[in-house]
Amino acid sequence: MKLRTGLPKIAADTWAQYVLYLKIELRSPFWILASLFQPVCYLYLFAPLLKNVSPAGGGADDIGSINSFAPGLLVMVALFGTLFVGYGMIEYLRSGVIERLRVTTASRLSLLLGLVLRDVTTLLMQTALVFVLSLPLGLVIRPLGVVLVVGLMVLVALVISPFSYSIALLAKNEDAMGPILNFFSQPLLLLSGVLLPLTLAPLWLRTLSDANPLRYVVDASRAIFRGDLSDPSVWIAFASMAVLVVIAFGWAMRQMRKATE
Amino acid sequence: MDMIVTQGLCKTFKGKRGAGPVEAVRDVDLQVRAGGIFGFLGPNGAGKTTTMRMLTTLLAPTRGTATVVGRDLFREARALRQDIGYVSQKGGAYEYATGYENLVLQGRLYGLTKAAACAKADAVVARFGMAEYCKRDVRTLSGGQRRHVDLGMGVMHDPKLLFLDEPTTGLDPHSRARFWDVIRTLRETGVTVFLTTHYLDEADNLCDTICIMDHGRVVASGPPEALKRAVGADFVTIGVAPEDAERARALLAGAPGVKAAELAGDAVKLSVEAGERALPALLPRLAEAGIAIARVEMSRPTLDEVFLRTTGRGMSEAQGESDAEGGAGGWG
Repeated sequence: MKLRTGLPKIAADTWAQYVLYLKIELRSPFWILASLFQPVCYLYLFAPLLKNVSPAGGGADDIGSINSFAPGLLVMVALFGTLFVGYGMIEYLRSGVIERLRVTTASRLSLLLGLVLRDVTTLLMQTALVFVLSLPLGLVIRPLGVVLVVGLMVLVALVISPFSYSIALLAKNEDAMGPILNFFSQPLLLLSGVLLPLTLAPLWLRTLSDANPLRYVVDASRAIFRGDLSDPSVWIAFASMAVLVVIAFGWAMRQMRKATE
Repeated sequence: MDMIVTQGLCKTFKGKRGAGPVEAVRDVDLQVRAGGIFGFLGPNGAGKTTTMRMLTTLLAPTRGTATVVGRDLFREARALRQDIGYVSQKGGAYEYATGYENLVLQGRLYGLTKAAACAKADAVVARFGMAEYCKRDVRTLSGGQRRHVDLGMGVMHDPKLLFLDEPTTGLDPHSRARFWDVIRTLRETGVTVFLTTHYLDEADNLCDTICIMDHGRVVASGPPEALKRAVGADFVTIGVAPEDAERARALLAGAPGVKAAELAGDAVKLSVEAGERALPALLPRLAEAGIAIARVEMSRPTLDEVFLRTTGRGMSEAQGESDAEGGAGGWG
């Protein structure tokens, strides 16, 4: 038998795991529906509240408009849709799945990639739902804009999902995991300008938000929906997410190795 | 050919929160020949699992060298994985996938095509008698069925050497006996099996060669029969009336072949060389002294005696110690 090596091996191993993970996920559709509930709530129960907080003159931070709120909501869905995937990792670690996989000849990268790609797939379903639900509210979409925004959301998921796995592998139990994730996610979300425009914020808070990569993602997402691809936030968002993807993967691979030692 | 050769294998873990370093494995030299079942016997915390985790490429040794299936553990870890299988104590099957799906994925991760993996999975299902339940989710299976799935995953790629960590822990006696049979069939197909166990009877009944470990060191190794013979004594218990007990002990202590005699309630416990020859001479002595014999028992040395001889304490006692140490048990 001729054995694959290098990229074909990584691709084959990743695909085999991804397909099984997806099958397992689709067997409990309840959880998929439950995860879709959050964007529905925000679109129909929260967005109407924002009508009156739009800054005078509209502009980039006019989140009272669906064309500004929906792009921000997409980022939030990308963040919270993938943030808690680590709980599954704790289960896999406890039941010896990770250890078993690491003794096989499977490529080490594929062990992470199979899971992360499943998470990206889940996110794509949620993203599609946000688009569909936003259309009746007046969302205007352009084909190139949709491609770019979805691409950006995939990058966010490629950062957050391995990050969540790393935290899971470090915490090793569910009770510690929740508080740690909240510790990181709450400031990231509040300082991103998704829920309330940062133009309402005092200067120090706005300065602080300049250090939040997620803020550029939100700004970029809105700019792309406006059709303003030359906005600097667009390239900053793509570049910073690309760098973070590499860091997040590197960290998660390391934690997977250490967790089974 | 040797399947495993190690020299001076050591693993020291950093202590948790201020505790000193833990020497889980100290200077282990092993030689495991191809073919047969090799058992690693010892109480929890003896270092069995840690040694196995090093030999399966999961854990980097602190010191020492090891060759597994002819390959260097450090430089050829990747190639080595193709030749070994590993079934951990926890198994590691996906709970929410079926046994069959678990088998197929395992095969594919070892480089089989989808068709080849399915064909192999069918063969494994037939061989281990899993047809009835292999299409059910693993989480719904009984302990014994699940162990079969775990073992099936371990042999999907026809490894030359199969590691089993505590394969029957937690199984009921019936399932254990069935699982032993399955492991024996593996031996017949030429797979070398390396297992850890803290069950004396498992080591005794199943293994061709055993290696006793305690506190991270190998304290004895050889075929179970040879180890027991080396203890060099059989145990004879003679029950008498309580008032005769001390007199009986004194009479028997000096008899030929008797190495030690001690009182145990209304019985005398003897340690004798070759019990079948000593016993016929011992009983008339008591009869001549007018001591009535209530019962006679003789037993061959067990692996527990071997453990007692080599470590100075019984296996169950050692097991209790490691349980009391709590955290240390985790180093396995």
